Amino acid sequence: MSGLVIRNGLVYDPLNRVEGERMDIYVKDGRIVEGPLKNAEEVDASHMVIMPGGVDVHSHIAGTKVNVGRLMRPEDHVKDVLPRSGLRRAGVGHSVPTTYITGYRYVEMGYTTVFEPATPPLKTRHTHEELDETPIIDKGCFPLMGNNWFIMDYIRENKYEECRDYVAWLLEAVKGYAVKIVNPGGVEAWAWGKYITYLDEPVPWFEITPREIIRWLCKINLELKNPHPIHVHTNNMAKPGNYETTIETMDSVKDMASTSNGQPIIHVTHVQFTGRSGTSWINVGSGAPEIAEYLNQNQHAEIDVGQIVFGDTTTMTADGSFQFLLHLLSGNKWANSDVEVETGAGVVPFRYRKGNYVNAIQWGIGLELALLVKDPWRVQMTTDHPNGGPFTEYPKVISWLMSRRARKRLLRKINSTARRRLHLEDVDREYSLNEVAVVTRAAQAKSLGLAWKGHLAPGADADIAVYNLDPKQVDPSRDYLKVRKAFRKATYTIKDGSIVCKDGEIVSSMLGRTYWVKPPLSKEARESLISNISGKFREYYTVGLDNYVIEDEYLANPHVVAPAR
Amino acid sequence: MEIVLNYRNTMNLPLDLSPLTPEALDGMSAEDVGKVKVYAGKRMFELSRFFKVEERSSGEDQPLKLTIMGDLRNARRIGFRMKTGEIRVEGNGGIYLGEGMKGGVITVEGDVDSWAGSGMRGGSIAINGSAGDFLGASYRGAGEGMSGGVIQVKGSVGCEGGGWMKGGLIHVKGSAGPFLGVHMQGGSILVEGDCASRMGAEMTGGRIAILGAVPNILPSFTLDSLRTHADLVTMKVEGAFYMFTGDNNEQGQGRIYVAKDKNPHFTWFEKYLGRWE
Repeated sequence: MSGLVIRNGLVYDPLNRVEGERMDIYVKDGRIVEGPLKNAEEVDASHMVIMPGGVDVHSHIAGTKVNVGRLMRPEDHVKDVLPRSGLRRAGVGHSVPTTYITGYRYVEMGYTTVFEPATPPLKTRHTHEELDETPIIDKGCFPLMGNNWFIMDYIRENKYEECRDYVAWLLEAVKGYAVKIVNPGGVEAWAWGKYITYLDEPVPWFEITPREIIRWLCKINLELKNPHPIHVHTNNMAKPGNYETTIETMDSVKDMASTSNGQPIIHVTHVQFTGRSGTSWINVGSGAPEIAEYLNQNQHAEIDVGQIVFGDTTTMTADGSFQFLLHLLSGNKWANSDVEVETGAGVVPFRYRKGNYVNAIQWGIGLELALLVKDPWRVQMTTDHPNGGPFTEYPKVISWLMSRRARKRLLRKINSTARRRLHLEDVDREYSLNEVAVVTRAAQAKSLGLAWKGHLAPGADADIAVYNLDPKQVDPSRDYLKVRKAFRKATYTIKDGSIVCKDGEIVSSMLGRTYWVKPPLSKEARESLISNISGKFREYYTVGLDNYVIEDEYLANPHVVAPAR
Repeated sequence: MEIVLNYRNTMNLPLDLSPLTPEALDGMSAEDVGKVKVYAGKRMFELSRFFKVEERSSGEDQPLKLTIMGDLRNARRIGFRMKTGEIRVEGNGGIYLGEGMKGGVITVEGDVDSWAGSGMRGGSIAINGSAGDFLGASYRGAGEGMSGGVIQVKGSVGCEGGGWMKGGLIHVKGSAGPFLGVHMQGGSILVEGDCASRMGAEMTGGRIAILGAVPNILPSFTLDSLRTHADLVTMKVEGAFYMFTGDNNEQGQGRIYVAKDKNPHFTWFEKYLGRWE
């Protein structure tokens, strides 16, 4: 076959400023190319929308905590059993799908790239094993560094160069993609039975502060020119009044913005969970307007929403202290883990209820964030899968963003006190299809530094989604159910130039790439670092240094991304 | 109308009979029923491959009655989430019989395997033989056991009967295994025979009455009083009982009634009666 041409679709490609133009897209050898092509297979996309393949910057799809979630939730799986069918392997779905179903379900929705945002370095070998078992999509993972003893020791001893080299080595050693910080210092504090409640509170034993951890790692990240900014889950997760911590966290690195060519230098994640105002659970409210105001005035920070969707899900995070709090609040079963030297984790099943005051406020915060931040390039759409809801609920979130009517309909059903306290009823903004393309793929690809993803210009990866939605016939504001239907099952999903999904059914499968970064590390610096940490490894870890490092060949389809920013 | 399925006993793999509920088969001819697809292991086959399907007429306007004949120990989910009508199993039943059922009647002539009536919300199950483990208990991991309906077992039951139960009645004529009513939150369990240890562990509500002997009671239960009847949620059972309350580890409000005459080794508890008042 000499390529593929997708004819007559309405193209939404925000990175190339194409908004709803009728165009033909040409594909050859897995890339978008200039047309025309002779003898190419043709796909008729008349009356349909064409977008780049979806990109998800934050979705917990692989790793040990995901697997613990799978093990502890047979009652979740029994609701969503998928027997083998055609090319599709059997598995179970809903909030913590099996690896194969994860890949299929993303592809069915037109997504082609997904990043696992929290992997303890020690357990990243397992994460890669699961990512390799997740078919079709390209992926990567972010190693957790916000509570790492080595990093905190370097900060305490004020050894910046050694800390920078360690971060570079760690990303390479575990084949990670970005620096992830979860509750900086707070997870370690909780291991000592203590909590970190503000950015300048000392971490037990290490006597450094969350602010120092964030600033050091941000500076190192910029110096290493990693493609993605530091990816931060702030302190005080889920606590009333925590929007102040979120703003303070973003503000803590503002002075470093001058070195980033105008690009965001900090990505604050699932801000719905850290965007609460109030002083207690009685008066908890939305801090979204304040966060949006900060983002509207400052260019150095970006967020993803972590929208909640009402229903049953499984919460999981490296923030073990938050999960313990959720276990106490909900009374649901709880799994906890302490990963030696590096981090912790917890898993708690949870049901978001419309009638529950706090849950309704959470729902409103997410949407307020997405609608009040003016620049869609800096507010990406996620559900923090599965914490806010399964990623399969994205079409519902898209419909809420595009339709005031859809929001109002649900607003009538939520807790009435929450409805009164939210600002959502007064927000008229409705996303256009172009803005949806920004928040679901273009902005996320740009944020990840994947220059060949999230757009449809010649040279880009031929990752394309075709949705059966004719904007000339369908008014998303009124016909939001049609929007949901269209985004739930892509008519075509094309990955690396091959049609992998047609009418929501998997028609071919492939092994996606695993992206990882290899920051610069000189031979001398590497030798010095290894001699420095090998003694500590023997002292701290139950594994040897040689077994810790994940070999290149261990990954099924690795793809190194060069420093870019 | 009555549909009669006669099992040919040709399949060793698990058969999933969840599509066979009276409401799903209502209005179908025997031929149509024979074409219903069911899983055998990981593949689907027409029902007629495993069963001889016959149709018998019964009274007009009666809900469909389904009679399944044969040794169906490898047939799971008989009566899965059924809402109305009747299923009669003339033989043994497999696991998950009556799982999540909301109404109607299931009668089993022989024994059933584990998880019968799991997560049941209404209707009734009558088992003439014995039942396996987790009778009327929660589906694995769900933490929500049966919340309504009645399960009667003439024989004995295995472990964790009534686990996470919220409502309804389990009535066992024979004996019960360990951890009866574990995590129980409501409803009633009556065991006419003996009961193994650790009944009511971590229960927060509900009532258990044991008419036979029990080896011991968990230390997290308190002897509340001597009673002349066991006051179950939907019925009273006459007799002399020790009434224990607990599980105190969970600040529970559950009650366990233990027959006085069958448990003389509990006499020493009586000296503590009234000491805490």
